[in-house]
Amino acid sequence: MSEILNIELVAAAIRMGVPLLFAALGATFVSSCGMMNIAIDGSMLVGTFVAVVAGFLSQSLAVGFIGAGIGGMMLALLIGLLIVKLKGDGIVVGIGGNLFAWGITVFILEELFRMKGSFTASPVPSFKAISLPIIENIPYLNTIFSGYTLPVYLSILIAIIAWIVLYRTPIGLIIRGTGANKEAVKAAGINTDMVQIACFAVSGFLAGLGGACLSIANLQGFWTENMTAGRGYIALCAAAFGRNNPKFVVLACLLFGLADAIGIRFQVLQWEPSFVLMIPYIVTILMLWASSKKEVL
Amino acid sequence: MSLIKNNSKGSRLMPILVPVAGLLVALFFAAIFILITKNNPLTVYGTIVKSVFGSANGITSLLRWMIPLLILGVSASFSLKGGLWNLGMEGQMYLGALFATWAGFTFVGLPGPVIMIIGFVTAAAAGFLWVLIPALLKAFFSVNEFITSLLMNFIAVLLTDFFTIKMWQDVSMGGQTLSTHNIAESAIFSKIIPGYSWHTGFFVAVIILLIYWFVMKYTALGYRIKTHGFNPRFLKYGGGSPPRSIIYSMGISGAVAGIAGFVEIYGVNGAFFTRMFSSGIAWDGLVVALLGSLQPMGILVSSFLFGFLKIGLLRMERFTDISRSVVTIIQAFIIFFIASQGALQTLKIFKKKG
Repeated sequence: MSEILNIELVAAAIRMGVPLLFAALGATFVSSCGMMNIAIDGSMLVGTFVAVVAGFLSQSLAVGFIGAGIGGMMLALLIGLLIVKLKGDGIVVGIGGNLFAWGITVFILEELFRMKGSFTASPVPSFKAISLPIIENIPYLNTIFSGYTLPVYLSILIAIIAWIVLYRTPIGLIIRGTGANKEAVKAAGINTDMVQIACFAVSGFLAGLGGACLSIANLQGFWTENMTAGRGYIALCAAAFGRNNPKFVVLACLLFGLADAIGIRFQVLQWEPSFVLMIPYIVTILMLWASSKKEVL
Repeated sequence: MSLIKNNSKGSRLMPILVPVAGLLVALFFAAIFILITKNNPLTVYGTIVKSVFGSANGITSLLRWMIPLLILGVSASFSLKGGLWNLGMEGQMYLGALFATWAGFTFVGLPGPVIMIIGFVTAAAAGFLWVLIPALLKAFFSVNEFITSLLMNFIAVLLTDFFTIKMWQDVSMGGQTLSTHNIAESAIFSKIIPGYSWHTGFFVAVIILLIYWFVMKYTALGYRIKTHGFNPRFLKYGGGSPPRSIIYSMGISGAVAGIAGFVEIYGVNGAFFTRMFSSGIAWDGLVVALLGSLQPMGILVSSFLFGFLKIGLLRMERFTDISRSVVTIIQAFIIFFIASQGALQTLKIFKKKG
């Protein structure tokens, strides 16, 4: 068991949990304003793709990373407009958004780059691990706190900002107010439609960054068709499980990251890979069940 | 869920008009993507129509693709009528196909029709049992079936990988192919026109559609499912049991999706391959159901249109350099169209009043 349960596992859990955390924080914004963004998965997928493609074309890591966020945001804006302005059914539009993300990424890959299935051009700029001074020399703490890529540290910062914005600022009050009682906020003279569309945009941006973490931080600039494999939905569950409070969402994402990381470790023990890959999905379903009585999601 | 209620009140022609209009709108948007590839959309669409309807091969392939689309459309409709989202059709279909294959190569000694019946029942049972997990979670713990059923897909596909590679792999080819043994020759659906891929599984699909129509129109079961879809509280006040309705509507949906897997194996493939169905197959069924307004006639029309689209774009890929992913984009636009329909209807009402 010692090759599975060790200090490295915590680090792996954080690494796996961070892409989810970005997307789940995004989902938190939409859920707080009383909507649900099913197309988080689509925004994430667009993010994974743009990060690799924009990074490759510009040979700039920053362009790839920010571009991923903007790509995810564009999709979420489309979805938000369809739901909020055209009063489309949230689930139906969301499914459409995820299909669109899948179709458009494959379309661009095949039409512009003449590649099939995965993006194979190189070099794609990707994030390198950063060692924190002082901490890197302290045993144990260095494994847990040091040696991550930049997005890992950034995600913690964004989680803190998200918490402050949602729970300590007037903007957060308006967002949560819109979720709790839309008519009352409207009566106060605030354009609630704009609030909700803005929340969609933020969620798409963050989900796009989460996608970028998958393709250019956890992997060194690699993209395959449909590579999010439902992670957006897991992020949605993490947001619900964390009761849309960034504090708890961080913990939920760590837990999902842990499930992922344990799964990967079990491959060392020659476990059947099919069963290992199932673990994150099973854990998500079990967690939804465990939290069911509290009527989240 | 307003969309489902609105459509059930529409005129008789709605189930036919909506799919045609939806397809036209989606084709219009898809034209933009075809223009990006520096092709002329009209020429491309012309080529598609010609390649599908210009030959017996094209028409029979279209009818062959209608079979899974029809069955999956009915599967999706059973859950949507009940106001529930069974997005696990892909997984249920995979497991149905896998266990139907198992039945097909295990009971080789029996007469063909008997094997088919066993395959049919195992596939339905596999789909039913698989959907039972999200259905029970929804019925007794109010866990959102939308996400659980969707996540079950990933588990199901991985499970079929395991069974195919580790348990029932056909090693006669030196273990090179990731497929199971072949099913008994005698149990394969015969072709309707010899030499073409259209097979008698088509009648199974049509019968399933008729059963759907009958159940929804004339039976207490259908009434319960519809009432649950309309408002679970009504059902409760009327003396019905919402959890039981959830299990009926999701359970039948899952069993039917399993049967779709059975028909694909016994009609076309003859053996189970890992990852054999395209990962969009369940979405296809969902789009067919939504586009058809959950009405039998609408499902028939939209499965025909969708079969045409699929075959057409597959062929298009052969003649032009346009990516097949255009079909996924068209699907997305169709879904956007369906979703914004509710908005269009509200606008009409406002105009009348104003």
